[in-house]
Amino acid sequence: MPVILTNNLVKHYGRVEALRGVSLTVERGEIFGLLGQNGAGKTTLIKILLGITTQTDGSAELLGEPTGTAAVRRRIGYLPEDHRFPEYHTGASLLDFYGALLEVPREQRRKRIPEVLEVVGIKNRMHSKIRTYSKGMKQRLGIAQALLHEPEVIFLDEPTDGVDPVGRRHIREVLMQLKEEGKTIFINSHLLGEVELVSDRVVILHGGEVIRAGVTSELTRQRGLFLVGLASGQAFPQEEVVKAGYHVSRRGDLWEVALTEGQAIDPVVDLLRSRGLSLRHLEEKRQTLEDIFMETVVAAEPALDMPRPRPRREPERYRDPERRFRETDRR
Amino acid sequence: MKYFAILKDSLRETIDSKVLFVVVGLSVLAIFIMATLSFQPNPPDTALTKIAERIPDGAEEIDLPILGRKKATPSFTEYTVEDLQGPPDSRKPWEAEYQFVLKAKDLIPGGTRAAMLKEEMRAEEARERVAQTGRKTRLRTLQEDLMAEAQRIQERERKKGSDEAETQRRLQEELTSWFLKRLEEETRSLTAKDMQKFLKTQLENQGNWTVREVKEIELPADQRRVKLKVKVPIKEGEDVRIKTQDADGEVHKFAVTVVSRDGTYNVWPHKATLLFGAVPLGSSEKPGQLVYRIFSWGVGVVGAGVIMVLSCIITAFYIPNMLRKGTIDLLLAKPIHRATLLIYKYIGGLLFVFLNTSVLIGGLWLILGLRGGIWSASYLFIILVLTFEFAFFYALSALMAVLTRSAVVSILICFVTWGVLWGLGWAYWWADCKQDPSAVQESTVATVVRVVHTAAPHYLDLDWLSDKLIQENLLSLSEGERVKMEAQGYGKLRWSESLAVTSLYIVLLLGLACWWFATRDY
Repeated sequence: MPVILTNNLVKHYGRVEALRGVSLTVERGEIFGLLGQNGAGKTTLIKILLGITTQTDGSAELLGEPTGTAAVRRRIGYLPEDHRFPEYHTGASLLDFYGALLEVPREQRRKRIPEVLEVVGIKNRMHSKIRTYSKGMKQRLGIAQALLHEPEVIFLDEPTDGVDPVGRRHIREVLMQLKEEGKTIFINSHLLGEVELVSDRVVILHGGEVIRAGVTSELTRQRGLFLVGLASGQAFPQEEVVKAGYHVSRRGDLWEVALTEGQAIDPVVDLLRSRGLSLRHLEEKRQTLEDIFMETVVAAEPALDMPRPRPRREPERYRDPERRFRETDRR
Repeated sequence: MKYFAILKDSLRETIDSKVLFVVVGLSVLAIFIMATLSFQPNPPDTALTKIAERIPDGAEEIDLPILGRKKATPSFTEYTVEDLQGPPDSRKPWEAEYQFVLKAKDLIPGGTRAAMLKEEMRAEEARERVAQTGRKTRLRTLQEDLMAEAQRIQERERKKGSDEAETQRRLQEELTSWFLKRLEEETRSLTAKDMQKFLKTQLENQGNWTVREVKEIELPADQRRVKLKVKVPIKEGEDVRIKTQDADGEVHKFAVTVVSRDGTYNVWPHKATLLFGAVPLGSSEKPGQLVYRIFSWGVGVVGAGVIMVLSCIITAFYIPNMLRKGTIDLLLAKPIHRATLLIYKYIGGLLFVFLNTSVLIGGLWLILGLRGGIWSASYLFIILVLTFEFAFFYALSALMAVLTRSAVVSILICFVTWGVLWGLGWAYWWADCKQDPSAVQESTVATVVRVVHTAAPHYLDLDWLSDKLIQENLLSLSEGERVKMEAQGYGKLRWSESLAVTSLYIVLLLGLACWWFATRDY
């Protein structure tokens, strides 16, 4: 049974259509990424799932029950975007307050609060007033309050916003740990790289509609595109490879070989070897989530006033075949 | 558990704002000042003379802020105490039985009787105003007869063909003569029994005693008569000259026996000082009166005013702060009903006021009890009344907060409503409670005021009812005094009506706020 199930969710704010028939499912134990531009309807969707906002039409279920009930809320954790904690609290007293609202028994709160603050790395500041916390610390505190009562489903709206790279990595590790514990995590983030690193599945919302959905690893894998590099001073036999039915284009010091349906890269490798050429780099090219996102959003709205995605410039390391091979070997 | 957590959160917010400490600090300062209050009882001879002086002597009295009741015109008579018999000086001189002679000496011819008559007529009028039986009182009869006499003189002068100036002159002369003659007849009608009854009532009122006996002593004619010098205005042409003339007055003596009862202490004259004797407050103060003044002005007006204004401002931020984006999301995602959340936040605001008023009034109750010997639970009740009054304003503030999410709007609306209700309370007093009801009560404006007042929260009425309650308890009012107070307007006010109407508003405002909060998207 899916943990989250929405069916044709519609939400209107006056004349504004925030959601236009969103249907999605999230399975238990998944890290689910919700992507979209500002105003795409991501936060509205989360708020409907939490019962903070009511849908205009359609239905939504969380943990097998209608959204918004007290019973469901006890089993979920939530970190909102742009959260503002009452600054008269300390980190510990805030968690104690929220814990009490979540009906966590006092003894359990006393034990759990230092634990969860340690998990997010701010235990040493638990008795300081929140007004003395940095943005990153507040973000960590937000994650802590979402995890305090050991919920089954955790909604994180921009969880790494304002957190430094070390902190982000730490949060990623926390999320992976939670996934291992069987928790379901629903992430909404603009940091697509972060989502790509942790999510199992993603959905792209645009204009209140789901315009793309899928398993992250599947989406980011680009079938039939390889980067090939030869030893220094060796010329790539472009014409012969094209004659063999492949599309070839240069990418800095490397060559991009595009396969058509039914083709494999092995004949190209065989051809290079038969010509006595030394293969130094061979890599199946992947798309990033950002590429997918840009491509999908632009395709959904061609007139969108934003710069077109440019061909990616190869990283510096790809221009030096020797270095390229060293790194490939290391892998 | 979660409900207590919301209250605790409100308390934390309050403490963080530091204003609580300022208010509590001011309260502690007030309590400390009152701790320096000291009362020293007057000895029996002085005290009884002072109490005798409180008996109405014909002088007009006016109520002055802070100073209390003061004489504004000369007295008709003078009361003194002679041949006092009682226990020797003790630490509690009010707890005793005393026998003494109460002497009443005319200061103007027939002054003692006139003073008694005036007070009796006033009391009779007050009783009728409260009871509203439609009976014609002596004062009204006198006024009507005076009017009839004036009309008779006017008619006569008109027939004679007198001009306006002549009519005015005749009216002034003949009406003065008619009035003095009528007054003399009225005062002569007072019997010794009437005088004894009057003095018994007055001694009960002014000394808060159980009066065992008041009996007029028969005096020889030479002792009964007293020579007076009276000042008489003599008209000479356009000028008026004051001339002193000899006249005869009377002396009356009454044998009196009084015994103390509950509340005698409250009116026993004391020398009162503040700051450990450095600031004299009066040599013959009634402790009950002084404590009442401290409460009525110090607490009822200044203290409660400051607490209410500060509370309105501070607590107005509680709900808008809770409704801020990023804060409300976190709360609404918790398993608590929105209405419950709002109501507990509301109760948190009420607790702020309850705590502040408890510190101020509870502290003063304790310290005045210890220093002044007056332990009246009535002013502890004021803690609840003030909290209840604030409950209305805070319900309004809560509704404005959920509608606008703005603390400034909530504060402004509260203050405007406060002003309107204050004005409405006074307008109602003018329309329905004022001493002279004749013309005002029948006007359309008065009817409108009465209707609006009935339908509006009774904020000022609650203030007045509290004041009445404190007066009744601290001043140990006799039945006659109570009637007088009722006639002054308090009689129209009812706790049940004021509490019921105001409660209805609280429920309505809070209900609307909860409904709005529970049905909005955040």
